[in-house]
Amino acid sequence: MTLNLNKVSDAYFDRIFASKRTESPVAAEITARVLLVDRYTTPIISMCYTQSQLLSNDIILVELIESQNTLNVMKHLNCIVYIKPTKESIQSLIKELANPHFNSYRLFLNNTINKGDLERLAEADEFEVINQVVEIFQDYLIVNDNLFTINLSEPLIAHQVNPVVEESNSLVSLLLSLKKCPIIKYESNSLELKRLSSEILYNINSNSNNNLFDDLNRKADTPPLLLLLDRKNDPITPLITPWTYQSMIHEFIGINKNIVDLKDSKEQVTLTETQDKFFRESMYLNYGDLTDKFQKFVEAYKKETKQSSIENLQTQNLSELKKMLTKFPEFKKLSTNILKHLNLISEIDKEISVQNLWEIGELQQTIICELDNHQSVKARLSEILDKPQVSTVNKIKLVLLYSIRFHNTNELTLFINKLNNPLVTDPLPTVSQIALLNKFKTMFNSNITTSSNNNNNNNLGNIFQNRKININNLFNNNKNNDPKNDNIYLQYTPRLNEILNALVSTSQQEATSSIKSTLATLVPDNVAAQYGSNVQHNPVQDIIIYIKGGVTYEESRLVYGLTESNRKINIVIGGDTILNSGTWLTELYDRVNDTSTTHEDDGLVDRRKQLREIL
Amino acid sequence: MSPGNVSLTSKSRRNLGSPFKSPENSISQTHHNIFDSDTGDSSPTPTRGNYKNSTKRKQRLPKNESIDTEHDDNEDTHELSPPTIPPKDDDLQGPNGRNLAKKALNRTKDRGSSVSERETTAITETPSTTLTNTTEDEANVNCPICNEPMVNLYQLNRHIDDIHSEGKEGRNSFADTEMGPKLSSISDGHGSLGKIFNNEFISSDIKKWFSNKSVEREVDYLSPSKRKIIKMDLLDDDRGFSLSDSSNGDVFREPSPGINSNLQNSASPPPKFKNRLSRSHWKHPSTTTSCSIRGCGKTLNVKNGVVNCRKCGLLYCYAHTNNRVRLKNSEIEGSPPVYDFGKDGIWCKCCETCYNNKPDLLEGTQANSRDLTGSFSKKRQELLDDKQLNRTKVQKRFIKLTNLLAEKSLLNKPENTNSIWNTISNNLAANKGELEREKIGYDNWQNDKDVTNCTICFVKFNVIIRKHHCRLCGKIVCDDPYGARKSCSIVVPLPKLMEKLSNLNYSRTVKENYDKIINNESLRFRCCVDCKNALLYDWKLESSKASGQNEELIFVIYNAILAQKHQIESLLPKYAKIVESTDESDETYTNRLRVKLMSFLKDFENLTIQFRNKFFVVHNNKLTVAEKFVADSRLITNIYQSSIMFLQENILWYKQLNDRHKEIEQERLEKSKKEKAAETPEPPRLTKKQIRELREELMVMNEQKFIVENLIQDYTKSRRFEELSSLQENKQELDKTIESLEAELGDFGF
Repeated sequence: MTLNLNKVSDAYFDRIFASKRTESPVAAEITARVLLVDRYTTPIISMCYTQSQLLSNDIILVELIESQNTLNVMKHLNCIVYIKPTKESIQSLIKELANPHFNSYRLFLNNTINKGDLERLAEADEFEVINQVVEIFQDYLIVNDNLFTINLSEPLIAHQVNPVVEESNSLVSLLLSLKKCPIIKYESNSLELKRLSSEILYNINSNSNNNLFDDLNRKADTPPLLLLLDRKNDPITPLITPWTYQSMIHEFIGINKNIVDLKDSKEQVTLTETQDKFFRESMYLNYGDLTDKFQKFVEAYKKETKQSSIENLQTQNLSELKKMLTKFPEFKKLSTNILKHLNLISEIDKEISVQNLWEIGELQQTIICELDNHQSVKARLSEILDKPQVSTVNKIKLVLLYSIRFHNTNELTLFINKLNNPLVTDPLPTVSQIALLNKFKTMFNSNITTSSNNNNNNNLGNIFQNRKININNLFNNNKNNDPKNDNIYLQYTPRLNEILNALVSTSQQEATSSIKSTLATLVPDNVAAQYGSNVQHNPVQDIIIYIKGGVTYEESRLVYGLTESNRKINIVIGGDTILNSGTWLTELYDRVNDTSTTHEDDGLVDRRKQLREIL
Repeated sequence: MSPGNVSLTSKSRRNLGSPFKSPENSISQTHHNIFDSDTGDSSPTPTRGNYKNSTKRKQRLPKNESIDTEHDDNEDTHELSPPTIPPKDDDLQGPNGRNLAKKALNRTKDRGSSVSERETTAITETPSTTLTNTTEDEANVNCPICNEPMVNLYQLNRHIDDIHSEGKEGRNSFADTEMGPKLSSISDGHGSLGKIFNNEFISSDIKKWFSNKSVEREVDYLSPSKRKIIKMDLLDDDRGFSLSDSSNGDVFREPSPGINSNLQNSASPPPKFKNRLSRSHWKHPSTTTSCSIRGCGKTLNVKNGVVNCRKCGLLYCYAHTNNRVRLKNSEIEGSPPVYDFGKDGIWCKCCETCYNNKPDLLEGTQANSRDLTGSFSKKRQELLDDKQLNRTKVQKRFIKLTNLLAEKSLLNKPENTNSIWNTISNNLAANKGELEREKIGYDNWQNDKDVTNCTICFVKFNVIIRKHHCRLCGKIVCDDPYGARKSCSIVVPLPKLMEKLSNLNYSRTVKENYDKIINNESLRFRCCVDCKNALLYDWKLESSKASGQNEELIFVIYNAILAQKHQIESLLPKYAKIVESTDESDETYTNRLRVKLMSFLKDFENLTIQFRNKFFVVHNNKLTVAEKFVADSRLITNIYQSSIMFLQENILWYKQLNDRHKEIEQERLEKSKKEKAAETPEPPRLTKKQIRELREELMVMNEQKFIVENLIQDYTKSRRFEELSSLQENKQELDKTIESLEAELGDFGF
């Protein structure tokens, strides 16, 4: 595996927290340390590193650098500063250096720092307290081994003149951290991606970062690939109710920076792949498998604890008892873990039954994969729309999916009328929801045409079937896919799958050309110099995907499945946020409210013009 | 090209009758010879696929070369259709000049085996005059291009193929040149048939080669002759898998007019070498019968595939060569190709192992970072030097200013009572500004008119924001200690500064009257923030060493804890290693280590307890930070937590290790006991009577055991668990006695 985000972060944190000890094992050097972070790096650390890990590395205090004024002077402590090189953080650090609270400082920056800032720091460091300045590249959040999000917090967007620059900086840091100098491919119909990609290309080609990108592919025989996608081209995936563990948690409860807020028990639980073995094994399982797995897990636990329960102890001798007691903390850990997952699963279960999701989920899959003919789908949909117990949001989702697949204005008005009927729908849909229903098709029409055209051409509803065969051919190990395909709730595969297939299978030119044509390619100078001009025909090995507008856990699972079944390909996926249907719908409402219909068309024309100019 | 191959080659030549008449047959024959498999004619064979491929490829040679090299690996496995006769010559369009050549070739073909050696060579010569010496004497052939001596024509053919073809691929000359002497010995031995082969082979091949060079003339030659080439190749190498190679090699040929001209002028230097990958390391299929991947075990045959990994040369089945890597020939002659990472590398098929050994995969995920310490500290040093200079300057001026002010105040004091002196002092006061200016240097004293903004905060001066001169650097700064602007300048009381900077080299009068000056609060002057900081730099450096009282207390203990921790951390892994290694290491050393660790752990624990006692109080059965240290409560709790955590983890580990160590020791003891027991003579043989008694005892025991077991079952059924335990104990005892009895009985048992 050449792409594993958690490994990168481990290496980085080792470097930040532990290197001192290995470098100089002299006893005098060991002192307690304090960690100064800013608000950008706090989540980066907290998502991959635990408090106890920090403590075991003698980090006895963690402070925000913004609040450096309130610190006590503690010259016994050495300080590790880990900040993002932004204006504010650098300013705070300069203040700190003018009146150092700690004995010595080691400075780590999570992205490239520009020369001016470095000089300012050098000037501010009057007392020569900084021992080390290291750039590590970690301007992104690691969610899973293969899933990252860009660290765009709200205040940042407001402050920053150009969010694209921020985005590109983050992605560049990701590339640098993985030591990849990629070819960039992006969906050419998106203006944002056009901007972003050229920004990244500029970043790679320019010398402003001291040729950091030179020589990164030294040991790779094929250049990696940075794939920039736009959520607008696939508005369906976030709408579909997911049925795998991690996705479901996000859909029904919500994961924020790996923290889940359980409303019932009013507690926060953290979900990390690295710390939680059960979660690691079950995060991609579908609901059925998940419950099985959980049951086995609980049973195993019971067996263990029963063996060593207090009653059993009476018969056993003292040494057994001793062994038991030493094992006790482990059991406690295990039981809290079980409790955590039990809470999560029961919450999910509750949601599923409350929202009537078995039925709705099945219909969703049926609509989007065209597993049934038009008439019966319509009948089933109107049946569900007539049910008062189904929530408005779920109804809207269904109608949206329906409108994408079978566009028919009459039917749509019929459905909207049903939605507006206070007898069967409660609460009534808002204005923006109705507006969205009306416009959804036109909003995304141009983007989805490719796939729907395919449908028409094939004249059959089994385009997805075809695609599956494709996958199976490609990833010779099709055992993974088969059982999933049998599951009615997991019929839908995101559009990403199609794109990846097209990229991976270089030989099957004909079948994939339609998708390939939607991708534009930029080749950095370094890559062109190393691999020659026709790099695009090389086989693909490492792919870094960035979905502008938000990624879904479902897509992360897809990527995981692909890499598991085809070990030759490494994929990492990310986005600016992680979407669930709720967040995606609110974003859609916003978009609908922003643009009136006439404006929309104008905007499109404008966009085309702009695109032409850029090109 | 191993010697084994070569000998096979000659053998097959002899065995096959006259392959000329039925080329198709000869192919299938050899094919059967090689693979010894049951595949009929209908089943696809790699040989045939390759055959077709190669012919196909040659036809479109000049055009599609680059594509071919790209896909060459794929094609030679996927194209599996039975061999077809290459398209007719007419299909190939070319200028008229080719017809003549075509006829010439047809002539060669018609004559077939009956044609004499001499005649064939004559045909060979026709295209070019420079070739005259190539075929005169078979044992003494020279390359027309580089004049390298060749042993026979076949070798020359290979030589030209390998060295002078202008392919994109890497070069491989050594294999063939090395082969030279071996081949010669063989060719001496075999009959005229073989020679004809060679001759014909080379003639057609050279022609083909020519046709590549000069498309104008001889493209038509290609198709008929090619069939022969392939045939020949097959016959010569006697191995199906080699076919693909030769075809691969052919693909890399490119039309190059440069060589053509070279041919006509043999004196010119040889063209640059650029050839295909080395194949000398390839394993012959006869040496391996199954896929070299461990655990695959598929026999290598036509169905499963017989494929050489281009990197390591071992043989694999299709399923395990489905990878592609970029390769180039290694620098060292004779060693297998190496990985390449540039545009010159060739995409090749390789085995799983070689794929997984790609450097980027071996390396795995690697975190990247850049150390800027060097450039940072360099920059800092530059700036620091400047600052140091500035500091000394400011300090000097401060001394001067202090002297001035102090002397004046000393003068002033007695005169306060005297009115005359007062006026003079007023005069002096008027002059004071002048004097101050002098001390700084008039050049440094900024002119009011030149400055419109504060030099520090850049605020624009106006009626309210007044201009002020710093008395140490002479710059004009603003003054607003309370406003939104930072206080760029302040009026500093001299005594305060002098208190902090008591060791400076003041004038004698100042030193003598130090106490007076210190107490004179009225002495003050204005200075800017920069100068103040510069002036107080040393003092700050000195004074900042100390930290708060509480912290002092905390860190005294904590540092001790850390020291212990460090010791434990360094010793424990050592101990673990010794215990895990289980070999008979120095027993005393292990014990010493254990004792040492134990004491460290104890110390650690004690210190932690001490820490707790000092900073925590038990309040309502809860540990809370003592009131005195509430300010640092976070620090204290963190420290305590980390210590407890460390203690828990490491004590556990230590105990586990200890147990393990004991077990091992026990085992060792037993082992040594056994060894001793083995040395001692066997126990005396039992008498018949004893045996009988023992047997009876054993029987009784077994019966009892049976009863107890039944009881246990019953009790478990009726859930009378409280009695179960005693029964189980009973049973265990019985088991033991039975065991011992059986051991005693030895061979005389049941």
